[in-house]
Amino acid sequence: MTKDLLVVEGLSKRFGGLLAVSDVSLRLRQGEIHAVIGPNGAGKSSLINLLSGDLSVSAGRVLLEGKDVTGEAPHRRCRAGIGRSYQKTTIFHERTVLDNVRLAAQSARHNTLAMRRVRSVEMETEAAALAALQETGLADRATTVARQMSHGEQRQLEVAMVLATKPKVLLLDEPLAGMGHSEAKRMAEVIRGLAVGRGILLVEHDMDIVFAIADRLTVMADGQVIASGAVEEVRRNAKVRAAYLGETEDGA
Amino acid sequence: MAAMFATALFLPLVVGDYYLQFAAKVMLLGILAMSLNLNVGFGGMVSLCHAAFFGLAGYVLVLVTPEYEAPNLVWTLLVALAVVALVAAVIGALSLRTRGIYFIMVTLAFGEMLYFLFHDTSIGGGSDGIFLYVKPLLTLGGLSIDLENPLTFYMVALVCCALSWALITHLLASPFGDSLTAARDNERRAMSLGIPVFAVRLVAFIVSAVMAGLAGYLSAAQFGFVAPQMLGWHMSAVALVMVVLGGTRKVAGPLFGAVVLVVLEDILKIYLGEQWKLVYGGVIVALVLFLPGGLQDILRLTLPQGWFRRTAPVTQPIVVGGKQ
Amino acid sequence: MDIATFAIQLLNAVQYGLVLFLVASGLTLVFGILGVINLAHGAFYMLGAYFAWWFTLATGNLFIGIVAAFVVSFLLGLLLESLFIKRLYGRDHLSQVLLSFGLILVLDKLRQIVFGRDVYSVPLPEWLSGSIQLTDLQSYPHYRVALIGFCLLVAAAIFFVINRTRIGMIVRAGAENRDMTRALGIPFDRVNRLVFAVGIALAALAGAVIAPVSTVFPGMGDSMLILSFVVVVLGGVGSVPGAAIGALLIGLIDTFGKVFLPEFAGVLIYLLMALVLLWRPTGIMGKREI
Repeated sequence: MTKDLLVVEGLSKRFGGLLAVSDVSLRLRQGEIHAVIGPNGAGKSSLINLLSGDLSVSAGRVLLEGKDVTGEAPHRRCRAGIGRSYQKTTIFHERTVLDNVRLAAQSARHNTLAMRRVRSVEMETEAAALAALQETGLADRATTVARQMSHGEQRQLEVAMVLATKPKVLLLDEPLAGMGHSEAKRMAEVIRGLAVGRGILLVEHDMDIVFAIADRLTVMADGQVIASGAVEEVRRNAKVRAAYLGETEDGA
Repeated sequence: MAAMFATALFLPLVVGDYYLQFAAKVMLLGILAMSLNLNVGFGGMVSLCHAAFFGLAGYVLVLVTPEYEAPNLVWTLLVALAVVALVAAVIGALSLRTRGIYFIMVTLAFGEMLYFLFHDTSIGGGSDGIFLYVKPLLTLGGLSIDLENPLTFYMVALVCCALSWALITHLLASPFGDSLTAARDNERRAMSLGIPVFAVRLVAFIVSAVMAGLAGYLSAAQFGFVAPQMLGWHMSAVALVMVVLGGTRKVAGPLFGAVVLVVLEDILKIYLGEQWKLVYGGVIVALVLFLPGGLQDILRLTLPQGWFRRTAPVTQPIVVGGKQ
Repeated sequence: MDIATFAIQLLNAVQYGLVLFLVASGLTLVFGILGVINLAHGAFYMLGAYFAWWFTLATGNLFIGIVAAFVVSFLLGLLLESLFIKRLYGRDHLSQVLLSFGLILVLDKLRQIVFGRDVYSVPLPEWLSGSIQLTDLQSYPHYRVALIGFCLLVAAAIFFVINRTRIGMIVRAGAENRDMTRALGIPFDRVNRLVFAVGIALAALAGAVIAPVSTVFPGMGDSMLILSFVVVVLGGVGSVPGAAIGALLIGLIDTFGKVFLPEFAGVLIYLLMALVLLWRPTGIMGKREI
């Protein structure tokens, strides 16, 4: 029996008169990749921002392993075990790859206000950082300055930083955006591997990859969930085919 | 840098009291500028109330000093710094709720509040300022540190300046420094990595204010006089000029900025008399327009590249990683 | 407090708030549209008063003096924008702070060289120098009444231009979203220059009209600068209605603060600012989520 890591109940976000996210409920289980798809403006990124704490919630609850984190600030959620990546790469460009992941490991799990370095903490941080690089396939790029890497590698680093925070839940906002086909495939494999022992909420446009790696699928349109379930089940759902999948076939 | 401070120890052998006092004054302003740069360059917070903390500490020293008795160096300093830390915590907690232009305006306003507090009320002698008749003294066994003595004062200023530099350098190399610069580079990302950005910035704001307070305390002791101008935003702006002049990416940069600016001011006063501020203002405008990187831009343009790189790699971004 | 005293204080508060609004509206537009923080704004309030004094003495006519102060400051604004300010667009706030600080020093010194450093007063024309008798002992000067009327006219003109004209539409759009107006192919260079020049001309106008009731003195710009900053923080950057609300609030609080709590009058304004920061850090009319 797999356990629910993240439970979302009736989540809504209102911007003035616009309901960007409306009454969304979903469950994320351990070891599972839960993909959220939907046309542009469906509220996918807003959903991630609500779960990570970047946006404040208008209504609803977010539970991490049964603990209510709805009102917590982003840095507290990170420390509680919710890690996120951004659609737009937000790595620290002037630092090396290793320094980027080390910063992530240190910030999420140790005293960020500490005014001196402690040897044991440094060693633990270093180990977590190297493990994150290993898992994302960036180990041989550790000393490269982030700015000098290719776009694809920067996307990998974006994910590696989340990983270094040792999250239970990963919220990945279009991790494959702007990647070439072979890069994307490699990255998809990496993401598949990350799900072991964790839960991944994946927002992604590339349908082939979503269908290849996701266990569950939630389809959103106009801020609402129009279908949710196992991938094959949702794929057959007539409402989804009409509202969404038909469009992408034309668009692709 | 450590070698430079060591060299400065021998300055009293070469120059007389006048220049020694001048050098001490420059060092105190250097502390002010270096501490401001902890906010500006490393924290990304452009504060316009830094001089308020400088002046406040000076006022506290004068106000807690008994009229004709030498104040105790240790406890008057502690009281002054504690008051500054408290005020900085309140101002910082309010101001740090804002960003960018708002932060500049809000710190300016709170700084001016302190200015008008001393300017308009009789707490500290009003707009005329107030004198400190006897300078702080510390007696420890047989050893006594009397700030009245120019040589002693110079040495104290030098040590404080070196300690300030060392403290900032140390802080930036600690996890706290990582958090501060990460918050400067990308606030949202820093938050999502688990950094409590507000708390980190507030601590930096208070630490830098306390260092400015140290400089202000010593400055009041040096001149035996405090006036509201010490707290005013013009003083804060001058400190910002020092920061930009010296470069924001190096801990010691603003110290050199302070040296150059104070020397420039003195030269202008000698040659232009009354009109010095005209050129001084013009130089600041020119600095912003033509040398956005400060003095290092001049060095880069005039010195052969190899030499420049070896001696002063100031063009590189600050490295605040783990192992250096 | 009897009704006449109250009325006088209220009028003073409104007049103070209106003058503050003239200064702050220019400041908030320059922030909002140009994205530039201009510390030299207060210097133009001071210069406006000196211009008004000089032209009034030269021509013997206060109105020519005030209009001339406005026009000269406007031209000066055009010049400064094309020489300096335009190089600040897109630069960091630190550069903007420093450049405008340098400008303050230069402008202040030039003012001293041209006009000297004495305190001057501007004479009122005969028909404005009387006052309205309210009770046996209390009266209200004609000029202050005219001042309130004039400021209301200018404020109405500002709101009209911003809400009802094409240029105002561009300005509003610019304050809302700078990048978007840039993308829409609006002649940004000219709009920027115009906004900057009008902004400081409004500050100068405020200095000019206040000159006959206060005195003309070198440091008058400094305190005005701080107050107009507080107004913008209260109202929200780029919001003219916000500036109006903030300015009137400060006018009221400062005037009545001096009556009821003379000891703390100076601190009340900052207390108000602190409260607004706790309640709404981007100002009363500012954008909510950053």
